[in-house]
Amino acid sequence: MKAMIFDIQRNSFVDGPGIRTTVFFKGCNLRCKWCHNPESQSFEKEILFYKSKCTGCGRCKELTVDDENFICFNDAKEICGKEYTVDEILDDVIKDKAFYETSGGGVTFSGGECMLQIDFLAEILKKCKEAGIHTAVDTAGNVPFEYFEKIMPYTDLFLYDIKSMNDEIHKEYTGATNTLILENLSKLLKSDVSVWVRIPIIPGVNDTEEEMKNIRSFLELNGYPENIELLPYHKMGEHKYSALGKTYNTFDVPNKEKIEKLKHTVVPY
Amino acid sequence: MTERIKNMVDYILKKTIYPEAKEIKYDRADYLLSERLRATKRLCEYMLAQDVTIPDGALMVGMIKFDKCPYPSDFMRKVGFKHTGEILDNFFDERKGPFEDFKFWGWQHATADFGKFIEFGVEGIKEQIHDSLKKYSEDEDKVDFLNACLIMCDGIIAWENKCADECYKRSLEETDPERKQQLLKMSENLKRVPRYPATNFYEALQSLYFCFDFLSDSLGLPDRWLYKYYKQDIADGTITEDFAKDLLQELFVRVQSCTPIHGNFTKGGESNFSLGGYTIDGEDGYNELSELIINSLLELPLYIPQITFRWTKKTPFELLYHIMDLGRKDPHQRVAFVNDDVKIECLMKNCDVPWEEAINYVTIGCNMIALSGGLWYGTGYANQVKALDNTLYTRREDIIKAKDFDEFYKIYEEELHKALSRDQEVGNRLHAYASKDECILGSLFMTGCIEKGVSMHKGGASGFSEMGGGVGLMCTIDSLAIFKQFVYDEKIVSAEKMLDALEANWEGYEYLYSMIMKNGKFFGNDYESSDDVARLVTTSINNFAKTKTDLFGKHYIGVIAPGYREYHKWFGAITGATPDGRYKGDPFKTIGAGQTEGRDREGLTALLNSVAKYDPTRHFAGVTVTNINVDSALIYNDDNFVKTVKLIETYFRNGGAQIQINSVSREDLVAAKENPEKYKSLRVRVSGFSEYFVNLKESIKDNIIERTVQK
Repeated sequence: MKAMIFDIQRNSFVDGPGIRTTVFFKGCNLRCKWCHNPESQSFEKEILFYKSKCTGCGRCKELTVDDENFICFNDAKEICGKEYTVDEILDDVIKDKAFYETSGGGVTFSGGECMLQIDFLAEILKKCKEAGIHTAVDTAGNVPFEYFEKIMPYTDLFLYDIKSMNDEIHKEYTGATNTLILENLSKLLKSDVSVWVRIPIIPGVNDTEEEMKNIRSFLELNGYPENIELLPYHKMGEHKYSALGKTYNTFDVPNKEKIEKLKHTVVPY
Repeated sequence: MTERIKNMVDYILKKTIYPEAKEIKYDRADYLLSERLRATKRLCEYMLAQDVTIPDGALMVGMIKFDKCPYPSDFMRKVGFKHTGEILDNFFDERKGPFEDFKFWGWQHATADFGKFIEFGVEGIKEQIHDSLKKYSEDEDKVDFLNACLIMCDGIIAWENKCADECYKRSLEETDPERKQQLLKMSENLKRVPRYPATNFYEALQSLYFCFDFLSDSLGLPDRWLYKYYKQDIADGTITEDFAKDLLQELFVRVQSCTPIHGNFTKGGESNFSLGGYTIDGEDGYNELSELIINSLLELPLYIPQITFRWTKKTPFELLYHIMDLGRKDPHQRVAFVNDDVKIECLMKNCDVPWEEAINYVTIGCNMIALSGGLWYGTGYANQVKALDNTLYTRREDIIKAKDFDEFYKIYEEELHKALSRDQEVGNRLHAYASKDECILGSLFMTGCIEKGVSMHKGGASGFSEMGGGVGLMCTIDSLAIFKQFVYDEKIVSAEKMLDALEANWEGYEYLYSMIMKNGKFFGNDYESSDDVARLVTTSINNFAKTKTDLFGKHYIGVIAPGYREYHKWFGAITGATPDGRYKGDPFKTIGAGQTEGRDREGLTALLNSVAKYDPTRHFAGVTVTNINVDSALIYNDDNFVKTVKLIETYFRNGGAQIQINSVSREDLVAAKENPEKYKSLRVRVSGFSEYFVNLKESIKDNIIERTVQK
C-alpha cells in the first residue's frame, strides 16, 4: 500500500502541540480559494515550473512526472508528489522521537485531505501509535463519519478546520457545502477524542464578528474543543499558483489587532 | 544598577579606568642573578613602581597594567609571554596569510585558579612553595624556580600593601564621611586579602579583583569559588543581595575596562567564564549566586565578560528556559550553552582527568576547554581538508584500484595520519619555543607548577593541546560521504570519472555536479550514510590522537571552532575542487560544526541529530561550536520559544556538545553588510563569543548570512 505525499516537514511548531513532523498528503476534495498549498489539491503528481528561473536550456523538453531522476540545473522545474510506503514514512517520523518526547510533540498527518487516503492513513496511524508516538490528524472534515471511526482508536488529536458557518459562503469559497463537515465535528466533539478547532481568517470571507459568534454558538451547543486557533491568511503560496499554471485569488492580509479581536469573540476564556 | 555603577559604565565606555603604566630603571646588580630571579625581581620592582588607581566611587582596588614591563606580554596581556607573543606576531598576522597548510598562532589560553588565592591567601601559597622546596631540595633548577615564586609572592604582598596604604591615605584626605568610611574599609580589606584567606564575600571578591590582572584571561568559576562566602554572609545578615550585586558589577566593569573599548578588541571571548555545571556529588551546581552573577552581568550595557551556561542532565527545564530567555533578550548576546555531560566525558575518556577535576573545567575564548588553573595549548588552525586534497590529487592510481569504500578510506586514513603527524611535529616546535618564557607570576595561579617545581610554559601546568580539528572538517566529511554515495553505494560514476571531474574543476561535468547538489546525502540531515562517514572520520582522528601526547605529555583534544579570522577562505584558496561540489579555491562552506544554506535540507531537528552523534569518541567535544540562525519570529513568540528551548534540551540529551543561537533576520544581516554605519550595535554569536557584526571580516559575514534560517 502506498500513499501520494507531497512533503514531509520536520521540526514543525505549528501543527499541534510540541515539536512535530508533519506529513502532507496530496489530494483534496475542497477548492478553497485562499489555499496556500495549491499543489496539495490534485491526487496526481504534478510539475511545478518557475518560469523566472528558466534559462531555456531545453533539457526538460520530454520530462514526464514519473521521471524521478530528472534534475533541472536552475531549479526551475520540480516534480511534486512522491509515493511512500507506510514503513518509509515511519522511518522518517521516528527519527525525531526524542524531540517529541521532551516537547510533548509527535506526528501530524495533514494535506490536502489526508483522510481521503483513509486505508493508508489508518495503517500509518496504527504503526505510529505502536511506536509510542503522539498522533494528530489535520482535516477539513468533508468525508463520511465512518472514516473518523476507523482512525479514532489511533488518533490522539484532531486538528479540525471551520471555514464558515454560512453555507452560501462556504459553497462559494470552498466549492462544497458545510453540512457534512459540521455534522462530523459535532459528533467528534461529543466523543472523547481531543479536538483543536482551527479557523483560517480570510478578510472579506469570514473575518466578521457575526461569523465568530456563530462558530461560538455552534461550539457552545456541541461542546468546546481543547483549543481554538485562528490562522490568519497569508500570501506565501502565491508563487506556487503560477508554477502550476493556476490563477491566484488574492485577499488582504488581516492585521494582528483584528485577529485578537475576533479571537476574543470566539474563544470564551 | 546603582548610580555608582552607572557612572563607572559611562566612564569606561569613554576612556579606560586603568592607570598609566610607568617604566622602571634596571639595577646593574640584576645581572648577577639567575635569569629567573632577575626577571622576578624586575617584575616585582615594576609592580611597586606603579601608581595605585582608585576610580571614583570604587569599592575595590588593585588594577595594574603591565604595558611597560621589561618582560613583554602577549596580546592577551599575559605577563611574560614574550616568546608566545613573538610566535603570534609572526604567524597570526593576517597580511602574511597561511603558512604551508597551517595558520599557527601559538595562542595560549590560561584559566587562573583565583579560587586558591581566595581560599588560602598568598601566605597559603607560600607554604605550598616551601613544601615543594623541601621536596626538591636536591634539584638546583627547581629550587631556583621555587625561590623565584617566593619572591613573586612577596612582590604581590608588597603591592597589596601599597594599595592598602593609598586607600588609608585617601581616607584621611576625604571630607565626605560616607566615602571616608568606604576608603577605610577598602584599606582594611587590602590588609587582609589576597595575603590571607578571605573571611567574607566582600574580601573574597576584592581578592579576585586584585589578582585578575596577574593572569587576565578568564574569571574562571566565580559561582563555585565565592558561593560559600556569599551563603554565609547572607545567612549572617552581614551582606545584602543588592550590595553583592553592586560589587559583582564593579568587578565586571573592571574586566571590560582592561579590554580596550575601541580598536580590534570588541569580541567577548577573551573573558569567557562558566556558570553552573556538576558539583562533586553529581548534582546540578547552578545556585543563587550563579543567578545573581548572570543577572548582575546582563544588566550592564557591556559585551565583556561573556558567559557559558553549563547544562547538566539534572538542569530543570525551567532553568534552561530562564537562561535562554535571558540570552534572547540580551542585545549583546553574551550567553552560550554547553553540555556538561559531554565535556566531562571528553576530559575523563580522552584525557584521563578524574571526575573531581573534570567538573572544574572552564570554557575559555572560542569555547576552548581548560581546567581551573590550566592551560589551553593552542597550536593554531590547520587546513583539515589537506589530507583529503592529498588523497584525491596525489593517490589517483591507488584510488582507482580500490575495490570498495573501505579500501578507498584506508588510503585517505594514511594521508590523514601523515597530516596529523605534521600537525603534531609543528605543534611541539612551537611549544618548545614558547617554553623559553618563565612566567613566574602566571605560574603561581596554575595547578601543578608549584607542586612540580616547573613553570607553566615548561609543562608545569595542567592543560590540553589541539589536534586534528582545524578548519574544513565538514567539507572533508561531506566530500567523503559524496564519494562513497556516488562511486561505491549508488555507482553513479566511477572513481576515475569523479577524479576527472575534480581535476577539471567540474568543467564539462555540470550534470554530475547538479546531481550531487540535488541528491547528495550531505552531513547534517540525519542520513545514516553521511552520519556514518562523520563518525568514521572523527574516530580515525581520535585513534591517532589518543595514543599520543604533546611535548609536555599533555593530551590532545580536537577543535571545531570557526575562529574569527578568514581561515575557511585562506585554506579554501589553496585547496583543489572537492567532491562535495566545491570549486577549486572556493572557501569552505561550513565553519564550525553544522551546515550552511542548501545543505541542511531536512530541518533543524535533523541537523541537531547529526551534530549530536557525529563524534562518538568525544575527541571534538572539548571544543565544538555549533551556530544556528533561528528566525526571530520563533525566538520572540513565547509559545514557539518554549518549543525552541525543548529543541535545545533534546539536542543536549542526545549528546550535543554546544550551541549558540542567532536570531537576526537575514534581511537585517544583508542590510548590515551593506550599510555598516546603521548597524553598528548589531551583535552576533560567532565562535564561542559574540562580536559586532560590522567588525567581522567580509567572508565571515557571508558565512553567517548563508546559514539556513530555521523557521
